[in-house]
Amino acid sequence: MKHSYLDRYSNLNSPIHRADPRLKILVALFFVLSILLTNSGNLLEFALYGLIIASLVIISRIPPLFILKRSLMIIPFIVLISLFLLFDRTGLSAEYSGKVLFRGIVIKSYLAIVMLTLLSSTSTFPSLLQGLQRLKISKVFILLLSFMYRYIFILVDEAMRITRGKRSREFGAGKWRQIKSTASLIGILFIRTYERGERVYSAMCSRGFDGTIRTLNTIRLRMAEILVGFALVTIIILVKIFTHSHAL
Amino acid sequence: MHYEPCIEVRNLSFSYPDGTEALRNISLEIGKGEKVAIVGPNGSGKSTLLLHFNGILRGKGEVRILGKVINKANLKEIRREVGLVFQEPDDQLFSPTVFEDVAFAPLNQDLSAEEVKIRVKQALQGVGLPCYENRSSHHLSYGEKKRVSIATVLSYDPEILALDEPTSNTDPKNRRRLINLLKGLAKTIVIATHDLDLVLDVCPRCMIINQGAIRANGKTEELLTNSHLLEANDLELPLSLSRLLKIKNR
Repeated sequence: MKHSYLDRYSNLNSPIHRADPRLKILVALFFVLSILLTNSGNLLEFALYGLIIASLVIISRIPPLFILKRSLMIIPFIVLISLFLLFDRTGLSAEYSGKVLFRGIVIKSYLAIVMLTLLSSTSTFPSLLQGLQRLKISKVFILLLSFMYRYIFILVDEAMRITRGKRSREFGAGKWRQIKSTASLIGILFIRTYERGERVYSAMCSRGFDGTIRTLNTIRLRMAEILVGFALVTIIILVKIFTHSHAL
Repeated sequence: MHYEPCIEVRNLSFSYPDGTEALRNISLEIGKGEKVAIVGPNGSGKSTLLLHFNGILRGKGEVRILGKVINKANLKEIRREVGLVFQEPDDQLFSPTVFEDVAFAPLNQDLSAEEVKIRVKQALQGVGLPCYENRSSHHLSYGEKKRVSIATVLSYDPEILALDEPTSNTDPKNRRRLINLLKGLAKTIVIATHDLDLVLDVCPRCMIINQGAIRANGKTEELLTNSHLLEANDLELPLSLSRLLKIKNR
């Protein structure tokens, strides 16, 4: 079975795609932070951030519709979580009503998600991992992520195969029996995954794995990229200063 | 070339934790440069035996690799000499990209970055997949995965290759490629399989194993033409031979 790429469009060729993953991670992180630290009522600031992100999307040559679709997926969750703010009467904050807070949270999370979608679509997953590693994130954590990337679709395939096998034989069974067999299906998936883990570990040991993870560094930071990253951070800071002095 | 023992197994027995006796008192010897097949039906103990060649499993008895008895202290050294390729390529290939998988063992040997890159390139060239470095493993076809799996051990140049069902689930074209690849490798090769036509093509010697014990050991041409022996061990004549017989008997 074929699956959509986890990091679709990550192999395009644009200045953003070519940039060092470390730089991208750091700038994206800084951007997300400054989005989160925005006053919920400051619509001008949000709009300017949106503008910056939109221009980044255009530079990256990724179809904007794709970014839009991917990022919209998060909205239901955010709305669900922050819905109660709309009905707030006691006043969570002295300055803003629940409505403003709700709007602020939705906008913030949306902008942050678009930023992260952009990050994950302009870098291949392995290069992001390498970036994280060079940023001194724990190797165990990176190994965990890399196994996830490698095996998530295999797991999905396996689950799909088991479900198919179940469906083709469960005709005639009552609803309760079907539910019960779903439970054992989950159990079987767990056992298979566990056994695969053992086999993979054997395969690693066979090739000399001794507990330390060694990787080759293939990324190099170019001066021009540093300057661009620096410029971007400066723009974000300027936006913050500008909108604060012109607070609505 | 004078004979030099490469793999020696004496009175090896192994039971899985659930009590299944997988190997019963196995003794065998494989010489340097030999290409030997271990043939048997499903569940006969072929894969279990392979896992003993590099100490992943350790049963009762003695396994010597290049004259050295496998023990805890020399596991690393032993595994350096035995390249084990698992049947399921999704177990063998566990890294995000092909490069990282093929480079895994050379990196574990602390080779220099330049050397690792050269090794990876050569290994991929060896299996006929040059320039596959940056592909991600889960987008490869099954046949490609099987070949990359072999590259992951070629990259550290072990003396012995132990392959578990190298041709299983592959289409005729990929199967032929794999067979030609195995034929061309100048290494000691042990293949666990029930693809008897592969054995006829690649291995001059074979062993028949059933229910954890070795039932026959000898020249492939003799063993695999003996239909009584094969049927007694839940196997049958290789397809190519049975066709030939049919034509003869017409």
